[in-house]
Amino acid sequence: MAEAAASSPAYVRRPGRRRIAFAVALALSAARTLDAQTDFYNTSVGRPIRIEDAVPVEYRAVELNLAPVRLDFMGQETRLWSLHPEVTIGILPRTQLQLAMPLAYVDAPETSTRGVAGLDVSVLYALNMETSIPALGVAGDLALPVGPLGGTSTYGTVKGIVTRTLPWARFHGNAQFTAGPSTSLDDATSTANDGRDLSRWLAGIAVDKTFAFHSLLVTAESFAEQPIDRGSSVAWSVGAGLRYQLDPRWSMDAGVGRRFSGDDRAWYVTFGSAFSLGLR
Amino acid sequence: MMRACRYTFVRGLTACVSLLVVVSIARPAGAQWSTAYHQFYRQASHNWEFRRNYPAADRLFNAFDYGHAILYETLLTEPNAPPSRLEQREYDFITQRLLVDPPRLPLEESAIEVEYAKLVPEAKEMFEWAHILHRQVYDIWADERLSPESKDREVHRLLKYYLARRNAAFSIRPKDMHLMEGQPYSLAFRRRYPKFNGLIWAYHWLQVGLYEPLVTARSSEARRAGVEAAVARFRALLADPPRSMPAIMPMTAAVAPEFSRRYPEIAIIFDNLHAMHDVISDVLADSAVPRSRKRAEILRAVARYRDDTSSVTTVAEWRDMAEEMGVDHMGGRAVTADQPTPATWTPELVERRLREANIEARPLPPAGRHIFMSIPARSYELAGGDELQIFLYPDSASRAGDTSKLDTRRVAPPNMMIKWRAQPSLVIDGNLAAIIITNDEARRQRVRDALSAPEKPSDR
Repeated sequence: MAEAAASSPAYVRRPGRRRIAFAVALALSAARTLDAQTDFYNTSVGRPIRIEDAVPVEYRAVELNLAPVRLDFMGQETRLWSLHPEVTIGILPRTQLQLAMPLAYVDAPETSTRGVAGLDVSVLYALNMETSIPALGVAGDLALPVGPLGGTSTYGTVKGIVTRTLPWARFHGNAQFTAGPSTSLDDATSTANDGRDLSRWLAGIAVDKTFAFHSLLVTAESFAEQPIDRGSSVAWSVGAGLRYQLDPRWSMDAGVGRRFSGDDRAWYVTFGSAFSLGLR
Repeated sequence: MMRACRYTFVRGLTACVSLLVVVSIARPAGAQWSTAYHQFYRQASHNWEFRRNYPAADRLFNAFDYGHAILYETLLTEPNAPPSRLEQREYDFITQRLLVDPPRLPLEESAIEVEYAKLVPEAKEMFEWAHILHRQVYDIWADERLSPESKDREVHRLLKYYLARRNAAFSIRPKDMHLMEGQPYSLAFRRRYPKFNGLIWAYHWLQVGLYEPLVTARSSEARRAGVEAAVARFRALLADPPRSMPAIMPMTAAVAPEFSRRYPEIAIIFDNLHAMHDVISDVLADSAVPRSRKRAEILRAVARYRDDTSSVTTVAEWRDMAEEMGVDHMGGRAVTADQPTPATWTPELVERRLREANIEARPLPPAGRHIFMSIPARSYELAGGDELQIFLYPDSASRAGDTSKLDTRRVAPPNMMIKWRAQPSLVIDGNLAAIIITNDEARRQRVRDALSAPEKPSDR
């Protein structure tokens, strides 16, 4: 649930709440996933970077991301913690279904806010397997207004993904567009209560390098996004991270990034692990 | 604002749809449009049991992943490289480094065979799917909680799961040798790269040779001993390349006859798998098949090994063929639980074997222990000042603990330079390791034969 920790609402500053809500949206945008694979080689949104590859989980695989966490170091001594439990199922060949329910906790000097930040239902479909033609994928996502930070509107996102593998590195490109009402920076209530992925559009690229003998992937990205808040400027971010296979079923990831432009510039770190099993 | 939003959305959607249309139109023209896909292994309680109970053997398969992957990638991307690229550089890396200290996890082959994976993802997926079958059958038979009847039941469920993917599963019908050896490109690989080919066949020997002790042993201890013996045999196959290597493709019916009797369909699948490995090596190695035709040739072969009609032979003929080709040329029959336990080497047995072979061997005073061996050697002076060093361990596992860390060609740890006063060679057999130090090849062979000869009744 959302709550004000300060003893009196009078201490809650409107600009702070707006900034918090905006940061929550950006952070959860980065953490929100359309794909989540335990295999260290296949990247997924937020694990550890925002740009993912065009490969869904294997058919009949079930992958559990139980407690991937992200911490944003924002201005005004504010910390944003977000937890992103999710389950991904390979429901058909080259097709995955994912359910996620992000949770957020904002720790500000004078306020604290926590709660469920929506319910995401998404499908990723790989059009092909990479040959001389790059791997292509499309994804659709429905963000439902569930929970105190889940906002009041439903948003739909379509996304195109491309992956190209070269002997020395892999490259990924993502472009997505979200349909739904814009929020207003002047409307503190609406922004403060909507902590979901609210980018109007997002585009970015990533590169990764695999160290096969160590089951390790090192990756970096750069992306730009237009926050859905009316009047917000484009936010440009860079990030880097690694994925590491602990054993055949467990993998872990860690990442760090920074938003260099836009209305809310911040450092962030992520850490997560995932467990895989199969449908019986 | 909503109107602007809608406009932007429609524009974005139009762009996405246009991309899809372009891609769709390109599909018929693009012969390389692939809809292959990955599928998760069958979920069961026995998953990863082999890894848990036989970690040393399991890790070898991770090294095998690399061998297969780098082979295809090199053949495809460096067609004009000298044979030494594979025969020396990669072979030495694999045998002196990778097989000595194998990776702890299955390798992501896509990151090693990048161009090959893009050339024929369909074939790669077939291999992966069959390799998963391999590993899951090991898992079932490594699971000591299951009764033999339960194991049979699980294997049949597994086979059903495997065969359900018709576009990724090998046929359960045996194929004749014409498919592998009667094509225009046939034998191109093994002629140009005999040592690496022997390495791949040694891999395949172990992959099927492990089943025999697993299915025939009556206790977990016997299974463990059998697996260790199979791994020891595999290492012996690489001890003196190419002489010690399989000379023909190991066939499951010959190497693991009890396993093949119990699960003939799976044995046939593995033979088809291993044959297709060879076929793809040939296609990639044959310069008469241009790069532009390699995908088509491989897909043609893939289809033949997948269907139930091309070059089919009977199960009886398949068994006969395996026997007639000669199991000794394939690396030998795998150890079974009902075979007599290999002789435990003792100093007396070593000396008797040397005497019987008319090899003069004078015991030398004890010397210091090699820093790369955990026990001291018993040394003998041979004729001409040559030397034989004998290491006798309590069991083959203890012996493997030392010898598996050695580069068998140099008889030294991979990162250590040892100055031998003559050419060394390593002989391993059960609980025995021996280092023959001589430049006399005839003498080396006589000693090797004496210490590797099949067990004699009188030894027991």
